[in-house]
Amino acid sequence: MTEEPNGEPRAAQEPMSDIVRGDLAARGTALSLALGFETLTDRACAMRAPFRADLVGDPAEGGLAGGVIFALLDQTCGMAISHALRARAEAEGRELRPGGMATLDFRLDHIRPPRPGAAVIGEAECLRLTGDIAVVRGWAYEDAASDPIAAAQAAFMITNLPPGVVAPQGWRA
Amino acid sequence: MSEGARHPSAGPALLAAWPYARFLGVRLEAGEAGPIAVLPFDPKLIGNPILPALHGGVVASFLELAALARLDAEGRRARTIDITVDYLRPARPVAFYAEARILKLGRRAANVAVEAWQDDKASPVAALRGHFMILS
Repeated sequence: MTEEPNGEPRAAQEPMSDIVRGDLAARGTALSLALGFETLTDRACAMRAPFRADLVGDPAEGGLAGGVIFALLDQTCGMAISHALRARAEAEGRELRPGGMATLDFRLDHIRPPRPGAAVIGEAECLRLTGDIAVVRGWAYEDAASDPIAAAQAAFMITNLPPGVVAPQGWRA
Repeated sequence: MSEGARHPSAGPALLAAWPYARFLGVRLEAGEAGPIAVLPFDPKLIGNPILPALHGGVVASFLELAALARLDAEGRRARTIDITVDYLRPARPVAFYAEARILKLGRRAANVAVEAWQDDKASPVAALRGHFMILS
């Protein structure tokens, strides 16, 4: 169990989306707030990008821009790593170290254009967490994961906070 | 400058026509060897407020738009097939610049490489390689 800012103990197997709701508020992750991302609590690591006319890519196609889907999957891949880090800390019976993660590389394949006017859901899972490197994959869809819009594959480096930087109360990777 | 000349049928410049490009605030400036994409800093672009650093999704979006704008400047309307973004250094909360190079422009697809920097062009912050389907 890890101690959350509000003092409620949480289990690692609890949906990350529930935890991240609080984390997002604590971090003020400006881009995800500016894009209107919403966490989904019925899946482990999932967020929805609501459709917005100001986030459309090619106006001739009318769907959310590829960059919005990239940002959505980058965010959910980060959630999946946080989820894995919590599980590892819990399994090792130690406190979660404050820190962050840095994307090393991120590949996004666009399988088909998103439908005009449709919200897009992004989900991710951590395939492997070694000492400092996490390998994750993510996928995006409107209605069903079996009909994907895009697929992501990425590697992240787990980082400790740089010297002199103080994590705020309740900060978690 | 024939390098940046727009095809008569290309329509309005991509960065002005795409709502998401306007949302981010990406624009083009003339560089020595062709157009340079510029992303002025805005607090909404932050992904990590502790460092602080730009969001990885902003970095990728900016580089992808730089590639699409480069193809647009050649009069080609394109759709992204795949992109790979390498994150080389932390993207600090300052202006971001990107230069796109078309490595191959075929009839059906193009391969484009983008390098992006902040203060020092010799120390790139991120790089993109991608394939783009040529629509017209």
